[in-house]
Amino acid sequence: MSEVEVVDGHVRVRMYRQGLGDCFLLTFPGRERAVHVLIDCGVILGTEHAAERMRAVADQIADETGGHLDLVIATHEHWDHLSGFLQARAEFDAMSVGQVWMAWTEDPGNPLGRELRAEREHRRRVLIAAVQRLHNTDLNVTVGLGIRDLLTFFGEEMGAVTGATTRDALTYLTGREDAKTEYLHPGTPPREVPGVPDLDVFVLGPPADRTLLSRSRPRKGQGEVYEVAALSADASILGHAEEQEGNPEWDGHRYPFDASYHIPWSAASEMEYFRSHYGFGGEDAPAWRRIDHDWLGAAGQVALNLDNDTNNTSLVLAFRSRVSGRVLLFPADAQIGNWTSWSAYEWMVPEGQSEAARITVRDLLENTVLYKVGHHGSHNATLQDEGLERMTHPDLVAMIPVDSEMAERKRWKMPFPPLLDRLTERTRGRVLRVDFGRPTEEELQQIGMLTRRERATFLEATSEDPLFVDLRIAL
Amino acid sequence: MSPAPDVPAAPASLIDSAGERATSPPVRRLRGYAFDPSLSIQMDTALVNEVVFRVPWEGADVLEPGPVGEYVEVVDCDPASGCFYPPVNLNNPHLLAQDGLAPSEGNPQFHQQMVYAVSMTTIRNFERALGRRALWSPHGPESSPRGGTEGDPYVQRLRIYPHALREANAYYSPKKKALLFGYFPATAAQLGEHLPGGTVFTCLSHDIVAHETTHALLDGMHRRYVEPTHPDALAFHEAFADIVALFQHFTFPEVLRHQIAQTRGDLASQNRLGELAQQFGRAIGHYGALRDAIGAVDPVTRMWEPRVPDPRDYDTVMEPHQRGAILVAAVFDAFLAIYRTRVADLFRIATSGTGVLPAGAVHPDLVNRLAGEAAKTAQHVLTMCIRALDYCPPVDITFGDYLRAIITADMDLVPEDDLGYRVAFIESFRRRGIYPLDVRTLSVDSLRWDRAPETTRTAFHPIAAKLRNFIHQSRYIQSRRETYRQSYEIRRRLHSLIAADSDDGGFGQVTGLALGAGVALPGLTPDASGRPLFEVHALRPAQRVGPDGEALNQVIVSITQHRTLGLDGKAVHNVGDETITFRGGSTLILDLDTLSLRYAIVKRIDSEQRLRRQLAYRQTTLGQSLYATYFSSEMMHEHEEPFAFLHRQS
Repeated sequence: MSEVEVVDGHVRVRMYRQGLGDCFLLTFPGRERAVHVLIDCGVILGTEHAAERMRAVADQIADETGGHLDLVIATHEHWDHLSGFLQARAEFDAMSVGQVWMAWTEDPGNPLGRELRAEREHRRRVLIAAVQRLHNTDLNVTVGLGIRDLLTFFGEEMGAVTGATTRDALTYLTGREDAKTEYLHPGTPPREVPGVPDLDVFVLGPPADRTLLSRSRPRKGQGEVYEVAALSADASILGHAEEQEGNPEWDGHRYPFDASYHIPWSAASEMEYFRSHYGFGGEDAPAWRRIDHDWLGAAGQVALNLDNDTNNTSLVLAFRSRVSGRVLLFPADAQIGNWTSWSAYEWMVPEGQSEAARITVRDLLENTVLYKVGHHGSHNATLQDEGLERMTHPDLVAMIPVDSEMAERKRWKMPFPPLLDRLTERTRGRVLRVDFGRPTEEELQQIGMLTRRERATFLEATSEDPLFVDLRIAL
Repeated sequence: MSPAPDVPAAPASLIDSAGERATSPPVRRLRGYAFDPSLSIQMDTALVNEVVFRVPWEGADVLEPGPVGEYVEVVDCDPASGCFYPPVNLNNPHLLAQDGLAPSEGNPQFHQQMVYAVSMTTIRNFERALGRRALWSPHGPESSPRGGTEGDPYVQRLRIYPHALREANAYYSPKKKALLFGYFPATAAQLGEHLPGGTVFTCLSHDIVAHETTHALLDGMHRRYVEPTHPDALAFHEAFADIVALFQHFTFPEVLRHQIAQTRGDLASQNRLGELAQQFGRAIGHYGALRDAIGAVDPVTRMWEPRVPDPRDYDTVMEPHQRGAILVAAVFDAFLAIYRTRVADLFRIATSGTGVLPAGAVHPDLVNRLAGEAAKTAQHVLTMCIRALDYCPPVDITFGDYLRAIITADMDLVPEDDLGYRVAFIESFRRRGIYPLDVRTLSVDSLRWDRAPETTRTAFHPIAAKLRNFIHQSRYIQSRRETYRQSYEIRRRLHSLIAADSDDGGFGQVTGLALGAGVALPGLTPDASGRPLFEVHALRPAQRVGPDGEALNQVIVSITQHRTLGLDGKAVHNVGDETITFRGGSTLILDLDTLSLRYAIVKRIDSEQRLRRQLAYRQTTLGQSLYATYFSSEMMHEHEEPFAFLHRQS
C-alpha cells in the first residue's frame, strides 16, 4: 500500500476511489494524537459492487483511524455522498464518532429547512409517478431515463427498490448514540475541529435565502419570473400525480374547466370527429401529431430543479490554518446560488499574536491550496469569476471525485471539459482524480507548467493506491 | 287593395337566392383579449382589453368546427386532465351575429376561438408582407428534391393544442408541426393580478400565441434556423417571433389610443410606448425577458426608464433570450425613431410650434392621429421585418445578415426612403454593436447585399428563363397544396438543370457550393456518379408592388449542401464517432423581368472560419445548457423539441 505519512505541521487529505461519489478523510496531527475528519461517504447508485466497495472503504477508514472518527461531516442529502453509511453500516457501527456536522437545512428544528425537505419529498414522489407513467409508454422514454438517472441521487431506483434512501443515511448519523449532531449556519464565527490547534473552520453555505437556494445557474438582468415558472411547473405536474396515487383530496376544481365541458378520453377516441382530427389511428388519422405524453416533458425540468435545489443545500466549509493562512476548500456540490452567497460574510479571527484580523471570502479563495472540485466537475458547480479565478495561490491543487466512465454511462458531462482545462491551467497540472489518480512525472512534464523542483515536491507530497489518493499539505 | 295584375309574383327561387348577390365578407370578426385576461379585472385597462380581430374570411365550406380552416386546425385535447373539449363552430349564426364568443377564461371554446383569431392574424400579416401564401415546413424524411420522393410531406394545417401542457410554457414543435400551449396555477408572485389558485392560460395571451405562430411560420420558410450553429441562431428565432408579436400588438389603434390619452405628458419622450411594449410581454416569464433590453423600472425613482444601449452587448451576451433581447430592442428603437419623425409635425401643429402641450386632456383628434401614426408605423416595421426573411441566407443567420436583409429588401421595393426608415434601422443596430462582418462602412448602400457581378448575372439567363415559365404557370394556382406540389416539381427540375451543368464550376463559384466531379472537400456526401449531393432547399416566388407603384417580379431560390465532420472539423475517422453537420449554401434572388441574378447571399460550404466558429460554439452551448449535463445531446435530439427546452430552462 502506498500512502503519505502524517507529518507534523501538515494535513493529509485522502480521497477514496470508490467511484463517482465523495469520500474524504482528513488527518490532522492534533494536540495529542492524530485527529480524523470524514467528509461524506458515498458512491452513485448503479455502481457495480457498490456495497462491497463501500465496505472496503469503511474498513480502510477503520484501519487508518483506529476505529475512531473525531468528526463526521454529511454535506447534503445525495446518495453519492451518503450511501456508505448504509452500505457499510456494520463497519460504521463498529467505529466510534466524536461529532457530526450537518447544514442548517437538515435541522429538524428549523422551519425553512423543514419546509424545503417537505417540498423535496413531495417532488420526489411526483417524479416517481411521472416516470412510472412514462414507463408504460414507448414515447418520450428518453426523458424518463434522464429523470430516472437524476433520481438515483436520492437512492431511488425504478423497479428495483434499494430499500433505503438518503434520508435514512442522515437519520443513521443523527441517531448515533455516541455523537452529537450540530447544524451549522453560514457566516457564524469560525469553529474548531476538536483537538486540532491553530485551525479555523469557516462555514460559507448553504445560504439562508430561499431565492439563492433555488438558483442553479448564473443569470443576468432577469426578474423573478423564472422562479415563478419553475415552481408552477412543479405544482401543476403535482396535481396529476396526486390523482395517480388516488389521493382522496383530489377534486374536480383542480381541472381547468367545468366538468360539463369534459369529453372523456375513451369516449373521444370513439367519436369520428376526434378520431380523424386528433389522430386515433387509421389511414386518414395518422398518429404522429398526437401529444399524449408531451406534458410529462416538464418532469425533466422538475427533476433537474429538485437535483439542483438539493445540491444548493450543500454545507460548504473552508479549513484555514492560523499559522500560514492556507485554506482547504470543500464546497461539496454547491451550485451557483450557494457560491454567490458567500461574499456576504466576513469574520474576525485572532491572527498569530497580533490583533484580530478581518477575513473575507476573497481572502479565503486567494489562499486556497486545495480545492475539492464541486459536483464531480460539472459545469455549474464551480463559480468562475468570483470563484476559481480568485484561487490564485501558486500551490493550488484540485481534487476531483469523478469517475468519467460512470458519468459517460449515465451520459452526464462530468468533468466538464472547459472546466477541466481551466483547472489544469490554474493548478499547473496538479489535478488529482478518483478515476485517473495522480498525474505522472511524464504527464506533468508534458503539461510543462511546473518546474522540475515543483514537480518533485508535488510527487513527493502525493501517492496513489487502488483504494485512495493521498495529498499532504503544509499548514 | 290587391296587387296590380301586371306585376308577376316573385318566383320562389329568387327569394332563396337573394343572399347570393351579397359577396362573401372580407373578414370574420372575432372578439378576444388584447393583452391577456388578467387585465380585464383591472379598472384602468378593463375597457381596452377586449378587441375585435378581423381575420380573413373562411366560409362554411372551408371552416369546420374546431376551428379547422385552411391554415390551422385547433384540436382541444388536454392529456393531463385525460379529456377533450368540444370544438367551437364559428359558423353558428349566433356566433356570426355577435363577433364570436365573448371573452371568458372559463369556456374552452372561447380559448379555441382566441388561438384561431390570433394565429390567423399573424398568418395574414406574413402573407401580406411576402405577397404569397404561407406554407408550413414539410413533414417527415428529407422531402427536398434529390431524385426520389417519399410519402406526402405536405402539411396543410398547423395544429394548435390550446391546453396541451400543465406548465408555464408554450412552444412550437417542429416535429409535430404543432403549437402546444400550457396552463398552470397562478402562484404567489402573481397574486395581485390573478385569483389565488386560479389558472393562467398561455393560449389567452395575444403575445404568446403570436410568438409561437411566428416560430412555425419562420420554420416554414427557413427550416435550418432551428439548428443552433451560432450564438445568433436560436436567439434570432426567439427575437423574430417576439418582434412580430410586439408590432402586431401595436397595430391595434384602439389599444394605443387609450394609452396615449392616459399619459399625455409622457408622449414627448415616447417612454410610454416602450413601457407599453414591455407590459405586453410581461404576461409570462420568458416572453417578458425578451423585452428587458427596451427598459426597466428604476428601483430608486420607481419610474420606467428606457435602457441605454451598450455597443458591447452584442459581443458579450450569449444566452439566447438575452441575446434575442438585443435584436428586439434594436428594432423597437428603429420603430420609435420612425414614429418620432412621423408625428413631429402633428406636435408642432398642436402646440403652435412650442412643442409643449397645454395642461389638461389631449384633444381626442390628436390622440386619434397619434395612435393612427403609431399603428401605421408598427405595420410598416412589421412588414419590413417579415419581408427581409426572403433576403436571408438559408443557413447560419447572424443579426448582421438580418440587418443587411432588411435594408436590401426595403431598397428593392421602396427606392425612395424619404422618411429615413433605413437610416433609423442602421442607427439603432449600430448603437447595440450589431455589425455585419463583411461590409466596409455602415451606409445604406454598403449594407445592401452585393449585386451579383455582370458576368454571373447573365449566366443565369437560361435557368431564369425556364423558371419564368414554370412560375408563370404556377401563378394562377388556387390551392396551397397545389402550390406546394408545383414548387416541389420546379425544385426537382431545377436540381437536374444545375446538376447537368455542375462540372464547369461556374455555378459553384456563385453559390458557394462544392459541385461537380473532382471537388475535394472532406465530409461531403457523394451521389451515385460521385458528385457531391446538394439540394434545392426552397423556392419562393415574390411578386410585390411597392408604395411608389414599383413592381417586383422575383423568384428566390435556396440551394444548400452539408458536410458531416468529426469534432475536430476533419473527415470522420471511425464509424460511430460523434459528428457535426456543417451546412453551407446560398439564397439566389433572380429577377424574372430581366432574367438576371440580382443577389447571391452566400454562406460558403468551404469556409474554414465559419466551421471553426460552429465547432467552438458547440462547446459553449453544451456549457450553457444545464439540461445537457444530464439529458445528453442525443436525448435532446431524439426529443426534437428545441423550443420546449429553450423556454423551460431556468
